[in-house]
Amino acid sequence: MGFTELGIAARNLLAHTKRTVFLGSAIAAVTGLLILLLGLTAGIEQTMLRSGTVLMTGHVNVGGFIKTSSGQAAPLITDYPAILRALEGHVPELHHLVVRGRGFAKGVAETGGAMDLILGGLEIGRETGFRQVVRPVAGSLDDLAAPRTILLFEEQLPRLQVGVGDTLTLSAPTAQGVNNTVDVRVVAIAKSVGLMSTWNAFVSEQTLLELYRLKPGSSGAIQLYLHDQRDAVPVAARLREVLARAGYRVMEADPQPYYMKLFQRVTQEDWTGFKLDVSTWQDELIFMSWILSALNALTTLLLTILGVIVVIGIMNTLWIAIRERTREIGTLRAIGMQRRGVLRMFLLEAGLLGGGGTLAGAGLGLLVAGGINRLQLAVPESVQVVLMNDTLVLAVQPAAVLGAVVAVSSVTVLAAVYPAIRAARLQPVSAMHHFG
Amino acid sequence: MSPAAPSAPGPDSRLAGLRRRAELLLLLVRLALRNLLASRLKTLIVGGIILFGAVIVVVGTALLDSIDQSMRRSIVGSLAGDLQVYSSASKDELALYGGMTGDPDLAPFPDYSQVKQALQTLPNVRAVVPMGIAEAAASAGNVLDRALERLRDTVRRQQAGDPDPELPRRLAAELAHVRRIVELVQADQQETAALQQESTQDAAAQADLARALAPAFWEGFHEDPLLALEFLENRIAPQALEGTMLWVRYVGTDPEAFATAFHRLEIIQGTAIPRGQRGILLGNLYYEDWCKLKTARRLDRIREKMQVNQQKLAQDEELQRWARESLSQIGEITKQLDPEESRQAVARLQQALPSATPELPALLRQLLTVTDDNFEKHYRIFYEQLAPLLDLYSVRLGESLTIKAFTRSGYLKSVNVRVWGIFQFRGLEKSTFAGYLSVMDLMSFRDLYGYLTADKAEEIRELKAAAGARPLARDEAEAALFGAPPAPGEPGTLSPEAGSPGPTLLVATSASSVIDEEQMLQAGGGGDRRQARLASRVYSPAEIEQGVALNVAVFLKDPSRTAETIQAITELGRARGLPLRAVDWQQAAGMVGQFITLSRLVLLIAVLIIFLIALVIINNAMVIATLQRVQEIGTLRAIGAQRRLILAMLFVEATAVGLLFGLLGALTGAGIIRLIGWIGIPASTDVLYFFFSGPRLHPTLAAGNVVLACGIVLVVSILSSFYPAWLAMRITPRAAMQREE
Repeated sequence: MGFTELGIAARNLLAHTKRTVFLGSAIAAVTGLLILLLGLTAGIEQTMLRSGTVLMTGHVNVGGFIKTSSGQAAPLITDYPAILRALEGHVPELHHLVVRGRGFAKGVAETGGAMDLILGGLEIGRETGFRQVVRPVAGSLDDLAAPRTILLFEEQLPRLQVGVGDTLTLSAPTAQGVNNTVDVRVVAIAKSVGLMSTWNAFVSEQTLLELYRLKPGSSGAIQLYLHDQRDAVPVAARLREVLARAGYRVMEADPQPYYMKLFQRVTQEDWTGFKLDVSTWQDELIFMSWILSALNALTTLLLTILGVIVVIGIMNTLWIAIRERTREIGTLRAIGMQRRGVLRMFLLEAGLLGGGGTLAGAGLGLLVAGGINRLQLAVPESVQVVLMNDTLVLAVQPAAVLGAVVAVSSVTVLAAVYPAIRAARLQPVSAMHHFG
Repeated sequence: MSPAAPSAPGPDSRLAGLRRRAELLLLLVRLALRNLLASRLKTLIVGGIILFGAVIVVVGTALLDSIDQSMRRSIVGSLAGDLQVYSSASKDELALYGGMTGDPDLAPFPDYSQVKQALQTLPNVRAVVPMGIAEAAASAGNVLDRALERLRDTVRRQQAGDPDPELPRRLAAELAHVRRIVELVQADQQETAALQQESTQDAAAQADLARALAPAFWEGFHEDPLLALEFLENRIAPQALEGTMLWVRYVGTDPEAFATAFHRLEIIQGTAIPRGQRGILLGNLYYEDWCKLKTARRLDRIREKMQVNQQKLAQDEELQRWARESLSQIGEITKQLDPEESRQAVARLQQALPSATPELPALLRQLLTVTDDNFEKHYRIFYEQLAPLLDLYSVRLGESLTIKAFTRSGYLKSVNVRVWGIFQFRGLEKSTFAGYLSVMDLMSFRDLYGYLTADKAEEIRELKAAAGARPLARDEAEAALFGAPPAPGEPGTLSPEAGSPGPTLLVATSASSVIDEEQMLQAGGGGDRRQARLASRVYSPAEIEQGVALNVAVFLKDPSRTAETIQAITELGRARGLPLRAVDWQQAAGMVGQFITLSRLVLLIAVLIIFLIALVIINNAMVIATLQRVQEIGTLRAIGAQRRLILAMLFVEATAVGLLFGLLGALTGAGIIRLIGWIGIPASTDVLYFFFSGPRLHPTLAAGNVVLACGIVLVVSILSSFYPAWLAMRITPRAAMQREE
């Protein structure tokens, strides 16, 4: 019986080719759009995660602040081997970890070019994920092991006008309030990894210690990379407890990047000494979250409007179709089809239409997304800020496609419920009497 | 509709033709209305979609226009002017608010006066203002500096024989306060030494600190208070690290010309920078956000959020966090107060709260623990009782601010500039574009900007072929040698060297550059005196104008002729051999300007998508409606209606629906905008605050928004009737009859 109804529904759809094509194409367009928008959001998120977690943050960070006086603070941790020992065995989700120095300095080239740089201090020998993302176009990453060396990104070259082998002077205020400078040699220039590599540069850990006149054992933060970055929040919460039990003073969770905490909060707080701060990658990259929420809001708004239009369209079409087919319904009822059967037939019709339309839309969306990704469309600067990337990248995930198909099909079926109930209510006799 | 009658064209027949057409049109309209009324459901559905679309277009474009306008007002009225002119030899494009790699690299105009003179020859130019925009670190005095300043004041009053009976008590309280802070300095340093694992202090500094902590020092204070004060100021105060570090973004300009051209500027505290003098005016919003005691500022912001946005402390996590942060920063308040003031604060708070707690920190904790119910009361107590005892701002008027910037060649230069006043732009009080900017004199800007590289300077020298640099350097050197420095310990005796403008052919930058280099070499007390002398020097207009400027704001008599004037400026530059490039405000705003274009584009695409889908749906509905009317149309055709008439009928129907519902939708949209404009959209996040240029956006409606909406929906409804009309046209009378069976 189900097959009979399915057959009838399919026949009906085929009989009204034009209507089916029109409505189906509207549904397909909405589905395709939904998939593209979701792909855009996911693409931004992916880029953020990829470049952000390599350049600025781990999935979970154990950083800290030292307040040498109640008004002066530096983003430092001391004696990090001890902290590492305290963490040992408490993070089964851990993939790997690195220790990174945090710094901010003005880089001045001999050519006169100058720019502010966010410095990461790293021991290149221990970095694994870093090499997979940061690829040198000139020089070699291994040279970063030597003291007084720096890795720049290609976007910084027009500004600084330096090449591999040139010298750059870094100048930064130390915790004592004195400006200190270190001359570094450019050993590698890396390919851009999105927006954040515009202002990030990497030096060897040793260089950073020298710049800030610190002794070994101090660093910026321990960056933990997990197997699944979604575990970040529970892991961070656990680490706060673990570290507090180990006798460290740990700051309460605050969804802000460390430099905001430094400027806005920690400097003015009453305590002095050393506190640890455990943060997640979401905290450190929160300044980007408004872009995602704005994009999500826009997507939701657009889809709601489109949803309303589509629902009105479907209801309208079915309504008219039912009027058109009143006699047919009467006949079907007369030859023994139950009301439920009529209802089911119309819903099936809508379902078929929805399913076909959404699948076509999904295919179209995937094609367009693939085309856009292949084209590597360059975007202007203001769009780059939003996309976190210099080209348009759409990350279409299977789950998102499935979700879009299911959601739009269900909306189509739901829109058909009321007209279908109306159709099912028709009396066989009156329906057969009905003219056209 | 039908072609002219076959008879010979005469006035009568033409009139008859017109009449026939009018009758035909009337018939068509009546037919269309009848049809629309007959299939009410279809009309309502199609009309509903059209109405919905019109509402969205009106509301969307009106909102965007309003954001655009408020941003434009902020940017044009506070920094950009109608046009910006900068050197076409620049490596980067002008971006008034900076780009992703910081401020753009602009080639300077070595002699602004030439540019000014050239621009003023254009008839549409009303005013020109020289500019140079940069960002730098600034620091003001720390708590110890301030306490010492007050102590010095009291000591001086005592020595002058002030008969005030309160004076000895004041002196004792202030001495105790200073002594307490010195103890804190030592505690801080011990902490530093323990944690940083590196002894960075030299022995002399530690010996000084030990001396200042010894009871003997304080017992002997009264023997020679001035000597003791000098010791504290010179040897101990620099060891207290926590002078407030600020980032200040400034436009170096001719303050007088700036204030005249940007007429919204008003000084709300202090005075303007006197003509020809050095100094800085801070933007009020910047002053509030960055220089104010954080706890006070947080209370202000909580209050603003509660009043303007009706947010509740109980529900809003952000407000709760702000309130908690204040609780962890009570020390910022207590360390400002000397024992005498602490006693007063305790007494006042005990009475106002009321509370019996004798401890100041506990009282402050109670005061700063705020809920929705007690917020207003505690806010009042804070400002009425506590604030008068505090320095609410880390930078005070009349104080000098040390601004440190990297010059183009990478050297760190510092300049002391006096804070003359606080200003804001009328109508843009809450705009971060306008309110975060400070205005600095051009001379100080040039010092901070520094010289270009040596070869560039050489190049400019050749270009100008004016040997201004050398004589000037000599002049400055002479002034430095023979100028009378003030006697030590006698501040305030400096008199402005008015009336000695020096040779008028000076190139001021070279003068400054010489001084700064010397200053870098000898960072001792001599440099301070020179800075003080510089601060009080009065520059002649010629000195100010015949030097470096990075960009120039141009105001037009008729701003609507912007494009024309840009063209004229480019031609002028070519004719005079000046590398002039002119851009409008949006381009000058760089990335910010692009953002406006981007959001416009996003809305446009969204509207396009919505109408594309709407087009399909409307089309679909109309096709079905047409198919339903096959018999009717066939009958019409059978009784003699031409195909054209059928076509016209359907078009008139579509137009009628489009017009009616489009207008209705536009009116609804207008109503919604009116309503929103009246209530205002609260800026719930800082990002929105930035886009709205304030805490609330009150959108306004322009006629263009309504016209645009009506136009779009009309086009869409007519477009969507093409296919069904074409279908209907092909219906033959026979087909219609056949379907009847």
